[in-house]
Amino acid sequence: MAYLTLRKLNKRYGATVAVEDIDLEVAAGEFVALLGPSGCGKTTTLRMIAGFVPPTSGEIRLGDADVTHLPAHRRNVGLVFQNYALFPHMTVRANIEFGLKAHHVDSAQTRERVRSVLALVGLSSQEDRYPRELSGGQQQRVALARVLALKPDLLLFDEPLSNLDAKLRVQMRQEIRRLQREVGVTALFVTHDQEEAMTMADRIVVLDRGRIAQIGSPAEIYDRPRTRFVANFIGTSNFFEGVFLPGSPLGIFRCASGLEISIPPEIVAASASAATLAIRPEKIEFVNAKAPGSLPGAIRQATQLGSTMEYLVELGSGDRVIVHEQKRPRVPVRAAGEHVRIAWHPADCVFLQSEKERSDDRV
Amino acid sequence: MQSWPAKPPRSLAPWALLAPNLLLLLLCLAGPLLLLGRVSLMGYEAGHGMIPVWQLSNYSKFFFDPFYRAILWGTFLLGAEVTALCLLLGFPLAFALSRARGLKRAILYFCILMPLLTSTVVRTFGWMILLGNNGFINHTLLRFHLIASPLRLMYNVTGVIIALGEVLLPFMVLSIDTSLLNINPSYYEAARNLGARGPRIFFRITLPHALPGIVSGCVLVFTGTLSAFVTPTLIAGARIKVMSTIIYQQAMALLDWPFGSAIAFTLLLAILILFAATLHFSERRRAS
Amino acid sequence: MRFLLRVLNGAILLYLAAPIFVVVATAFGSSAYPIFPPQHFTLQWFHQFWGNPELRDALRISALLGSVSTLLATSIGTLSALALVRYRLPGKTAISALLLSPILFPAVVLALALLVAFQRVGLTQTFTGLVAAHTLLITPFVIRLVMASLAEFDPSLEEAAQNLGATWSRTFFRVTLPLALPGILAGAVFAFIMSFDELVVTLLLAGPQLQTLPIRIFNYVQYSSDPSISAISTCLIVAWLAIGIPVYTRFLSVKHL
Repeated sequence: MAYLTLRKLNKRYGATVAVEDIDLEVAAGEFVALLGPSGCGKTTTLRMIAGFVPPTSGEIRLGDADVTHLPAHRRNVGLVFQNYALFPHMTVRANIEFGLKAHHVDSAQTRERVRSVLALVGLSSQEDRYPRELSGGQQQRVALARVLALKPDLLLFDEPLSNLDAKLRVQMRQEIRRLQREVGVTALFVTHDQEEAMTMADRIVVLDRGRIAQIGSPAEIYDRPRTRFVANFIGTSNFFEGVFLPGSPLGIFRCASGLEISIPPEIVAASASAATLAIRPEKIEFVNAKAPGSLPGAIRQATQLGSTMEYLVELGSGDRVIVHEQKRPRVPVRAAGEHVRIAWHPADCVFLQSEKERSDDRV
Repeated sequence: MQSWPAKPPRSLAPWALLAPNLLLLLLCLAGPLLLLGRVSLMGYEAGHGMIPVWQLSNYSKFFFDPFYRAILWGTFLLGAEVTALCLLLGFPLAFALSRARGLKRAILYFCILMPLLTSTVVRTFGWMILLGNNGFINHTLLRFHLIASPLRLMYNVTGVIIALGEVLLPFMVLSIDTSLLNINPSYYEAARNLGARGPRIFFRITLPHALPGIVSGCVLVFTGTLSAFVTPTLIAGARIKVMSTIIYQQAMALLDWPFGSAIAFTLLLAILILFAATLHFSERRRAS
Repeated sequence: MRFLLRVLNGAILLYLAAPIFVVVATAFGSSAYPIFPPQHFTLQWFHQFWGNPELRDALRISALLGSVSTLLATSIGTLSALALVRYRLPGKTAISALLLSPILFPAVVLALALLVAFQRVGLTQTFTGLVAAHTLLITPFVIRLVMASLAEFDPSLEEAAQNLGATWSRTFFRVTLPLALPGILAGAVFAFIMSFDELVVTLLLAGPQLQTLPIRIFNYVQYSSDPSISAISTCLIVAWLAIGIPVYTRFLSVKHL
């Protein structure tokens, strides 16, 4: 059953469109990431759900209830702010009690809930401290405990990890996911960090300029991006523009540069004549000269990425292709200028919806 | 369930919050100033008081009578002199203040602010003790035979400039300090990195950035001098007249409110024009 | 060069401090008129000032006037500062300029305008009239300090309160107001000092029954010289420093005052 439902949600500021026709259903207990660059409308969407921004049109439903016009303080939706927004003049305990008092929870139950959420986030000994006396990670936990104490129907996260250092961020990802599973609460997590979205979410909603570009599991989003925007925003991709010529058993994709790529016809979505083809750099491998269908080229640039090497290969056709190769024992690192042959499995190619098609399905 | 808006309606709430203040300004500022303007156009006759006519003779008297014209120019000249003194003394102090950090800045800042916490009457009283014919300054100079007879420092313009300069100096220092603090320290590093040396850095970076602060400081000191009442009254007594002291005299001693109002309105206009000009200057600077 | 600048600044600071220092020093001198440097140490002038019913009366009037005006100005100014910082308003710059304008007008001009206006409604020489005038003059100080403290205030705290279920009023009284309190207190302290020290407007409006301390000092200084004026001035200087220093140290990071 869909727990949170957004239906044709729109937000305009004068002539500028911040959010356009967002349709989304989040199931109970699901963890969904709203992913996109700054200005894509993800925070506006979140703030509309929290009740801080009135939508221009559309509907927000929590379970069976329409909450579109409910004031913020009457939605049982917990929001964890980017800067935590802990009340600086209150202790950890008072911060957590604040919401319980606003909801007129009796004092015995208040004590019990404060105790249990503090135990849940592992801060039982810190309840008399003030926020400024806590580390960033601890403040984050208090912010989480503060909303969890209210047993919210829905948890919203507004880039909550962006103020933490890299190591702590990775740790908090697992921590937040653990807590969310333990409590069984539905969660919507706004982030611009693709890695965060990939590692944490059950499903990812990619937003591009106020609209949903794609919804899917992390694997779907990565392996089967639907648009060039998604393929580009999440990970790295090589793009080829060209036309598809059907044949059997493999069709031919002919690029503007004259390069021809073999493609299994079943992966072509429509009978698109003009299209964009994407291939991930790690799906490309270096092969020896005898391999059929391989393409000759020369390495123009070799870059260290740590456990991986990134090569920029210029093909005979003039196309430049990025190749990622895992460093392995006894495999020497290649140098710029080296002549190579590259190949990939035709099934790893992805056809992308062109921007034109995207604007077509608006109608 | 009772419906209670999360915030009061957006459009009305700020106006409701502003209402008491706006009412106060209407009753105690706008109304009285309008009335002042009206009174400045009335006539006056000793013994009869104000005569409710519409006329400009109060203004023409102030601008064309040589006695009052001298006071007008005298007031502006005093303003220029005090401003020059404050700029001369204020810049080095502001420079040091803006460079100081931590406790040193706190102490320096406090020394400059402290006079602002002390009433003008008290500070002027201090100057009276120092500047008199038997005051500390003359006493000291005479004792070391630096002068043969006491310098006249009280009851003349020199004394007023010395005392007013001290009274208004903090405003100059604080506004220059504010603009100097706005200079990104990496400008200095970049300039030094590009090979610029002390004087060049000062004239090409420090001074241009300090300019808005210098301008606003000068305006504050100049208008402060034009408005000053306590210090000229106490230091110069009846000898030196400035606009604010004759406004007081007309209003309280001679009871010629229409003429006093005309001078007051002129002073007000002069100050508003100055502020408007500064605002224009800073807007243009921001635009460019 | 650096040394020269240091000497110059020392001299300028001396110039700034000189009158205050002299007033304090003469309060303890034994001669019958204030002379610097003081000859022999005595506390008699403090006794004399305390024994002077005129001055004690003036002190009482000033304290009462300051307290009532400060209370009014702090309430009015805090509300205005909230409106200016927390809400989107058309013509906000113009409104804030208008609200702060009373400090820009020459005191004599305002004094005469108020005198002319209050004469018509019978408010001259009344306590109410003085309170109205002082409230007008000191409200801008409250607005400035409260605005400065609210500007550092993170608006997401109010959203967090609402998100946790707090109504508008609960948010205001439990979150906004407590966090703005230091600024409000600083504004009140400043406003009180400004009201207590105000001379010019009070001089024109007060009349013989409402002679405040600054008026008394002004008249004494003008017509006679008596170290008990130094004594009372010293008391004021010390009092203002005692309540001013905590406020300043808190707002030292605030550039504008």
